[in-house]
Amino acid sequence: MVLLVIFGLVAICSAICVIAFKNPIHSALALILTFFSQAGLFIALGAHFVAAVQIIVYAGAIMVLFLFVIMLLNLGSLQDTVRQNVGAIKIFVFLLAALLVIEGITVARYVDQNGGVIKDQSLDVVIQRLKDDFKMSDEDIKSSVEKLYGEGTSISNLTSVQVIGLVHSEMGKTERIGTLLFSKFVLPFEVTSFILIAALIGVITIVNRDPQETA
Amino acid sequence: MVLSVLLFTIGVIGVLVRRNAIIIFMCIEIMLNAANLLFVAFSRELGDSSGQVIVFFVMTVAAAEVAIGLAIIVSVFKNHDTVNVDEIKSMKG
Repeated sequence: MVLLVIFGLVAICSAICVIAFKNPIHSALALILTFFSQAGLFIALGAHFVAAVQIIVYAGAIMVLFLFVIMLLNLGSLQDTVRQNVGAIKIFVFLLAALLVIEGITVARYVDQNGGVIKDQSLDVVIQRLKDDFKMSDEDIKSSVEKLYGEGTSISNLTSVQVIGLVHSEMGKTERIGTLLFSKFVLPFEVTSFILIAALIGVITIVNRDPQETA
Repeated sequence: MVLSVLLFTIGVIGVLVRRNAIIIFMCIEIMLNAANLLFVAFSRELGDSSGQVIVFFVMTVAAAEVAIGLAIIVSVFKNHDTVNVDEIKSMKG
């Protein structure tokens, strides 16, 4: 919880820095800080795999792209101006924030009431879900339980808090995410590869055009 | 939840206020990140890993989008010598 608050504050401050700095390079550096604190938030939420991917993809690949383009175009010296009609924007942003907050409260209440939360589910449902989603055998579940709560404990003796802890610790594991990715989500996974190829070809085409032809 | 909403709003403000195309892109990244954060938070709350897998997909699509967007910015810069979105009017004819 403490981690969540700290990383959250860092993320918000650096995000404000991104839009407040005049120099694009400073903005890019603040954006790196935002990405890292986001990764910290993911770790605090128990999503270790997502945190690792966040650092590799965002802080690694995407930021290198950004910095390269800023350097190539030599934008460091260009001063950026702020748009003029700020009044209308203020109203719009306020309305949007209010809408999002209302939506958030509604969704959170819905989730609380309608028992999607694991603490309300029976042990059998949780075990069945572990088996379905993660293709875990009884042996796997047993060894995970013993690893987490000591030798000789069986899943039927766990308190509900301990069951939630078990599910959370399983969810963050790369192995479980991988299983889910190649079983339930195999079609989206293939579509993603297609998108990446399309992006690659698109980028090559766009950049290779002769500027005189299109100007 | 609140954190994610805040980050998203900052991203929207950025898109609206700044005129440098690259900074607008960074703000889009912040918004995508806010959505990712929400996915992970709810996946933990509901005890369902699907949210984390979807975050993985969002990141892939974001990477593709940034690559294409920056390529467009580079070619626009070649043509117009600026990345200020108010000065780029050629689409309006």
